[in-house]
Amino acid sequence: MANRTDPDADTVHGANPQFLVDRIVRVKIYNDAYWKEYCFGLTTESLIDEAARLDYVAGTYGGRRRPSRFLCLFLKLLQIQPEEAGLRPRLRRDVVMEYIKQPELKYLRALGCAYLRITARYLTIYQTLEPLFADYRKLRYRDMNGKMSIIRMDEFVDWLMREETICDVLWQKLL
Amino acid sequence: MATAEYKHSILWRGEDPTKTRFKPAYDGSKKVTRYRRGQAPEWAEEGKKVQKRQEKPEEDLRKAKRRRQAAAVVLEADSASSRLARLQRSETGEERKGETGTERLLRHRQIEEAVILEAEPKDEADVTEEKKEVLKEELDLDLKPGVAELSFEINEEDEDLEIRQLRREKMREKALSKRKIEEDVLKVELEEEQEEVAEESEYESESEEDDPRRGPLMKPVFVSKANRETVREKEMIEKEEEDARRKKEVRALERKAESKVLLIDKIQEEAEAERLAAEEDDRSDIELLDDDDEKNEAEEYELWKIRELKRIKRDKEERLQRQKEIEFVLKRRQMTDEERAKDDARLDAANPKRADVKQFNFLQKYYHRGGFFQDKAASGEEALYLRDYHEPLEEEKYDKNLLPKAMQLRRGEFGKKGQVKHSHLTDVDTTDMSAAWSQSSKVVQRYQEKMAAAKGVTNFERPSMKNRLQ
Repeated sequence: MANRTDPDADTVHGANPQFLVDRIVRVKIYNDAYWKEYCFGLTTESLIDEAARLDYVAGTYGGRRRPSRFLCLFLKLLQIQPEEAGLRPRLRRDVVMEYIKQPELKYLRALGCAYLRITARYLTIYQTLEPLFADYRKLRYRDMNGKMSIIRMDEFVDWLMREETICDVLWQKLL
Repeated sequence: MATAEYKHSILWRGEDPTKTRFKPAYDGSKKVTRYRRGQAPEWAEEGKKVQKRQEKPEEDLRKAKRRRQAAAVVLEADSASSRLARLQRSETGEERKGETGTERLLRHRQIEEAVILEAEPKDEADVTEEKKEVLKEELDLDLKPGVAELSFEINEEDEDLEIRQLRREKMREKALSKRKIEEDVLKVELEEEQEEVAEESEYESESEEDDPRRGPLMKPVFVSKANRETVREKEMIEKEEEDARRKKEVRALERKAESKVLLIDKIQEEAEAERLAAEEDDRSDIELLDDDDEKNEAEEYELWKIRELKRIKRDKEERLQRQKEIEFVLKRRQMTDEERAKDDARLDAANPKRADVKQFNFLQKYYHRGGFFQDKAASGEEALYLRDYHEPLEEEKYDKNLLPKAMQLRRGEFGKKGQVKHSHLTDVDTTDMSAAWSQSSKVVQRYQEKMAAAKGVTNFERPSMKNRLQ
């Protein structure tokens, strides 16, 4: 019940937006304690609060591939789809743009970037993400083995633009 | 069998075998000795005329049977054969009371005594053994009258209870006497063991303490209260009890104190645990790296610059590569054949390919280099993978045709489990080389072309008037 995509949500790339995350990873997130406890009933506003408490950027890590909070919030975004359907395209990405534009919370910015990258069209992605190469703030990154490291925001954005798989999510290749 | 002499043949002319009654081929001359329980065999008969039995060879089997049955009945009543009669006889044997033990032995068992050539001194053990045997014989003797009495009881059915009780008492006495005899036997055995185990004599002596007639008693002497041990003991006990009580109290106090301390500790722990639980789970396992951006801003900026430049460079190179590719494709499309060939040669030289396939000797073993790590072979990192594995060995260099046929095998095959008859494929090739169609002559070629409607496939000359006329 709680894991259904918002019925008002639009399809993304012709499919249910939640399905952009692989089934195995998705099920892992659904069964995660953080998802069940904190991500239930999140709105775009409360999501900001949650994102403020993020510690690192990661996909699934560890021996049993535990999903990270970043990934849980990412799926939550896909689930609630912070754009409003029916509005003109220009206004649609208001919320996500705000996420990206705000300078204080860098993890929220990273989250916004990831969401944009997966849902938006190529032109939007290029136009939005390329200026972010200037942001060289530090981010904590946890790789698949669970090891922590420091990456920079511009590195992260670079990965988003180029790599196929980051944070256990498959990204479509950009032209 | 189809002869007329065979009884069951269809050609038989005698009597119908199915109609006649079957008579077994009984030979009455042979005598079958049967054994029956309780019946003494014939050779055990004493004072019986055996000749009577021998007069029955021609009689009917049934009659003989009947007679034997009658004889059996008669035998039971006979005292000589039945056990009961024997026992009865022994009971009434008065002439035997004056017998000695040895005479009795002789009567009961025909013992084949060894002929003593040299008289040896008898050991004590032998004497005791003889004693034992004698005692056992006494036991048997006691049994016999008992058994005889039992038979008596069975016969007489109308008896009073009193008589039965009397009988039972008698049995009891006999049982007691039996036990006594057994004890005697045991004692004899004990005497033997006395030398080995000295304690048994003590045991015997202890049993005598139960005798009420003991030695003289001790005279009672007055002991004052102070010296009495019993009083002292009492006091000691009381003291110990008091001490124990005091200790218990002390311990209880200590425990209280301890429990208080424990409680405090626990509360503290719980409080800490709560504090920890309030923090995120993720933080507890790893030390979070510092992601403070205010530190080393200049350094950060420099690093960023480097990264940015690298990225720009990378993008440029990618664009360039793409462009080059397009150019090359266009150029190649415009090339002529010779130029293409040259270009191919150049490219081949630029990309070093694997060496051409080496020519193998006759029956040289093929070694597969393996499918893995070929990238290392290609790059040349690992010298191991650059080795030429098709280089023939010493044994593969000489001509194997000189060997006998059985030994014309690849290396590692002869004399081993992997040896198979198959040597090489052409060995089993049964193509008939002399056939007309397998020879590659011009006639054959022409014919094939004609049949395949491929006339002039290999003819690249222009049609001329010369050929046409012919």
